[in-house]
Amino acid sequence: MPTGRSSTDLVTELRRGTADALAVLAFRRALAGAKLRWVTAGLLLLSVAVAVVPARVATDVDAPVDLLIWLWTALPVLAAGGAIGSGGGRALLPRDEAAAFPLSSVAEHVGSLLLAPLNIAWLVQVWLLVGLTVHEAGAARLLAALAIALSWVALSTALGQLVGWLAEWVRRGPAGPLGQRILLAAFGLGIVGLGAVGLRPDDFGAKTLLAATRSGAWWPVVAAALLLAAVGVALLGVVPARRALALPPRDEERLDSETRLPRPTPSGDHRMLVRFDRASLWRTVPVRRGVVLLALLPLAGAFAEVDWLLVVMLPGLVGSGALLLFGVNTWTLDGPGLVWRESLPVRPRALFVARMRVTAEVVALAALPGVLVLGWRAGPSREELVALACAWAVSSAQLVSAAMRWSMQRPYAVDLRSARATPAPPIVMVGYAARLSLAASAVGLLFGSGAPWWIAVLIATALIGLSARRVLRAAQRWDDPRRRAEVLGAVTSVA
Amino acid sequence: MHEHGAVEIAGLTVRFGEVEAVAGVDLSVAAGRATGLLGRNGAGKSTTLRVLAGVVPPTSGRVHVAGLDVAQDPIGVKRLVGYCPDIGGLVPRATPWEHLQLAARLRRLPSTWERRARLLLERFDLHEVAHRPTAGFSHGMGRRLSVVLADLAEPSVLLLDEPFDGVDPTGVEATLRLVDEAVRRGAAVLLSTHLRELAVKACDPVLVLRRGEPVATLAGAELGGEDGERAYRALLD
Repeated sequence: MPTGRSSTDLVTELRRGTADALAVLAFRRALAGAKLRWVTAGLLLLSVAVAVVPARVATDVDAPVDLLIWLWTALPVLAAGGAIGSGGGRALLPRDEAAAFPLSSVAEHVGSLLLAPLNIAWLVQVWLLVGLTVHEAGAARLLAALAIALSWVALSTALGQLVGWLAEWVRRGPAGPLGQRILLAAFGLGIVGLGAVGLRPDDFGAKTLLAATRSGAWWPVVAAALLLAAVGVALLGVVPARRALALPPRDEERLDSETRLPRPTPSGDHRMLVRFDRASLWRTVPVRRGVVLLALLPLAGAFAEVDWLLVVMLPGLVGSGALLLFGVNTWTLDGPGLVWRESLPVRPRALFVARMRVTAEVVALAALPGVLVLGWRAGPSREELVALACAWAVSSAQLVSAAMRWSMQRPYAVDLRSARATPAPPIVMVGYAARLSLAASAVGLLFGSGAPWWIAVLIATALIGLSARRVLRAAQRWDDPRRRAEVLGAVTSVA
Repeated sequence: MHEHGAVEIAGLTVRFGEVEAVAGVDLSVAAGRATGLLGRNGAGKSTTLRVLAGVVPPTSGRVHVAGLDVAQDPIGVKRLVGYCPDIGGLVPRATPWEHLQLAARLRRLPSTWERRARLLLERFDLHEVAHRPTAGFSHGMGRRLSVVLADLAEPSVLLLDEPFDGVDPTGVEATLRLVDEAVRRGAAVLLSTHLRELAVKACDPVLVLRRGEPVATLAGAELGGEDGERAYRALLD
């Protein structure tokens, strides 16, 4: 009588799971269209440029060692944060489709690992880490630096995924969300405690690895060891993934069955529409969890020396992360209900303005805790304070503009009920993440350059004006009933 | 003498790219009557109702609701029309009460709307789930709520698209009663369904659509029973 799995069974399961994950990704990529294939190609090209060009650019200014160590140390924390926020990791298929095409937990785990770059913080962190590391190493040691850095990225992502599944297992288990929060709080307090006893990020091995990228000594051994560890951790991740996915998702079930106390009917149309939209938004599991995590994660930087440039980039990065939770396909929040909403006697512009306001609230507020705490911690000058406020305002305006335009250009029928759902197919999300991260980096560089405050204000005014113009054009397009009917047809094609 | 109906459609066509969803529908729906729309999948029933609800613009043709042109005055038409869409029609994370509040606010209903809303929720057996998000609803519950939302304002034109789909016998009875009441108060009801027997029970006359075109207008009695089924099948083939 068989008593357990043999190693052959396990290998077969791993092979099948990986093949399934790759097949689903290929299928979804095939549906994405030619334009998005160009976006992906552009993204890959950009990544190659980031990995190669900085090594050949000679400057007299060295990258700050503290920043590099922080980038290396923070990567696994960021990867874990992304995985925890998305309920263990991004899903290969929406829940309804997955019921018809069941995927094993191994396939789900592999898919989550491959979809990790959907997290904008991961993408920017990796670009910065790789770019600055190869720049420090120089052209002579490019291969060594690149091999070690990319192996570290692989290990960090696998570690983050492992922690993400463990956290989701706890959340879905008897301990529930409270148990998960207690564990995460204990982890956060642990980091604070380490800082209090004098341990710094460079005491955790990042400094040694960075030294290896510069000297090039034993680099094949270091890179191979890191890769081996990454594979081991990735395999280990199958265990909590299987356990977590075997349990029903608590958040969705709770939110679907929770009784909401009725409130009086608001007196104005706009107030009513905004309240309705806010309810839709904040009761959406991936948005709730993602925004809370995005708002809290940067606070970890309060215990480290964070470069001012990163503080200025923060509003754009956090806001982009929030936008990627729902805003790139904002009309999908209404689901099939958009048909009924469209039949109500109200000007289309009123719907547009209400949705825009709610989107603006999310992207601006998600960034606020990090901006306030890290900004205060850095002790900025008056010029820097104005630049930070400008970066926050410009990023928010750009993100709202992007949300209202993209949601109309590329609407998708998506069920955002699951914590692991994304508002657009994976390949589209990668394109959006890349565009948003570039915009956030550009805004950061623009306002982190130390220009006089009045120049920062002038630039911000011009950029906000540009975003406002784009939003106005989008609103005019929304007024066209044919355009709205197209959006409606796309968004409501899920029953 | 030609009598003007509450709904007048002449030469309506709707195209989605290459696909012609509705091809030249002419239809007149009188006030105080329930007209049925029957036909196979893709016959253009739902699209016709969507045009009347102001949700999809017509590609060509004239569509008037109570004398208002849908293309010229969509908001005015929406004030007169109550619409139950064919699929879903509900915002997943809002509760039935929040749906009703939104409809009442945008339709400028007097404060007495709450009494009618509670009555309808009770009649459709939804009063116990009035404050739970609709994402947790069964298909039948969603259909029943969509019918309630459509009739909340007691509209002059009531458009019901597949209101019986997946609904239990109690819900079917409540819907039939609601249609009857709407007709009695003088509303024009246009009801689309695949269920011939229920269409016959609720409507008279019944219009049969095939591939986006109307093929026959029959009295309810002509479509009832086995003879009616044979006649209906002959029209579909």
